[in-house]
Amino acid sequence: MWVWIVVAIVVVVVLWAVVAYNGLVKLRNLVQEAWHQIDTELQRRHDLIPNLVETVKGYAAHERATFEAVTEARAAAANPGQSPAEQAKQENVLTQALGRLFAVAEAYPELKANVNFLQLQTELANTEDRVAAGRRFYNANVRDFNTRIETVPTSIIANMFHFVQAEYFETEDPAARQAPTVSF
Amino acid sequence: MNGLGSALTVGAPLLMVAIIVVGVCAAVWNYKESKRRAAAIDATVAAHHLGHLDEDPARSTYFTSPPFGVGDNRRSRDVVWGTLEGRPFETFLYSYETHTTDSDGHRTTTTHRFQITWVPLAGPVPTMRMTSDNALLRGLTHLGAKDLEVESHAFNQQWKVVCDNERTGHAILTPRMIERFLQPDVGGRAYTFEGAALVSIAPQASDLGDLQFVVGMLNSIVDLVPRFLFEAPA
Repeated sequence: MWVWIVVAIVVVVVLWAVVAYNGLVKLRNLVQEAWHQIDTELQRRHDLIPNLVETVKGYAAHERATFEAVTEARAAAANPGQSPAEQAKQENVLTQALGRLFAVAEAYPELKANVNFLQLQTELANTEDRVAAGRRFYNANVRDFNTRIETVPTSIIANMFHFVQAEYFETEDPAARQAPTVSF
Repeated sequence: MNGLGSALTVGAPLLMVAIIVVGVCAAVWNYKESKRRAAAIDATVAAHHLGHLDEDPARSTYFTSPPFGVGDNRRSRDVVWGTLEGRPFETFLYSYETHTTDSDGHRTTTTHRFQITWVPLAGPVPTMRMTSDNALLRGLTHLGAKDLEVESHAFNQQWKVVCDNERTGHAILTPRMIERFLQPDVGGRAYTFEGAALVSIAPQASDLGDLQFVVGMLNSIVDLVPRFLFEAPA
């Protein structure tokens, strides 16, 4: 009788361990998939920047320092194989450089009215919205994954199979800085 | 024993009379309230040059998320539509019935009423339901469905969010949208993003006195939905 009880307990524990392990693997894959999605959107963002710089150059060629800062920040951000935290750091530098580029554009009314510039600006804003949405989805998955790793009893399985915490991707969200528009 | 018997003999008819009086009062109040509500709706329709139908069964099948598709004898009454400040909307009183049977076999029918107001989105999105901590509205989300959690603890405490596509859910719930949903005017009702519509579900019939406020509030939410959700990537 006791043997069967022990066997039943062992079977239940093994089944639980399998389910917990599979759950962690599934979450880790989801985190990776969400990161690849962000990577795609960041690539799209980086691809827009050379055209944007060239368009601004056509009207404000003497703002060389600003163009160089954007180009350098873009090159650093587009460097492949960075961790989410490193990537976030580079993206923040790029966002600041782009902010200065748009500040330059403010001083040139003809540039602000340029159709190509307006289109690039809209596309960049859309892409940044996509990056922000991807970041929220990625971070939500990281939060789930890390919580699972840290909480008992799943933490036992996580330690046994060397699951490590995923990094959050924390960038400045250009959209979040704008004040909300509320109409009643 | 005789005293108890005579008390019952006198008390039972008195109780019956009391029940009848309460019932008649309730019926009169209901009648007067429905007349007042109908007059208020007519006034709103006339003031804003809106369309109006007493009842339209087709509206009961417009949406599929709860409270639609639940119960039986589904009805859509006092359908009002048109534009307010240049933006289209539609509102109607939606009701359905559910039935329960007690241990003695007595069947009780309950009528559930919701004021539905919806405004169009720029394009279709996967269904996302949001219910506040209002007990009457909590039942609209399926039990056991995964609640989408965002970066705001206050939002997570106040709203239960269930969506068909989590990625789109996180895309809609931008920091500004989250902030909007934490403002007091948005509370007290449930919201559904379904197809190309944002639907508001209020747990009681409205006389449309708050129509402009509700439509304005819904449009303020629609304006915060990121445009890229409706556009193919370049």
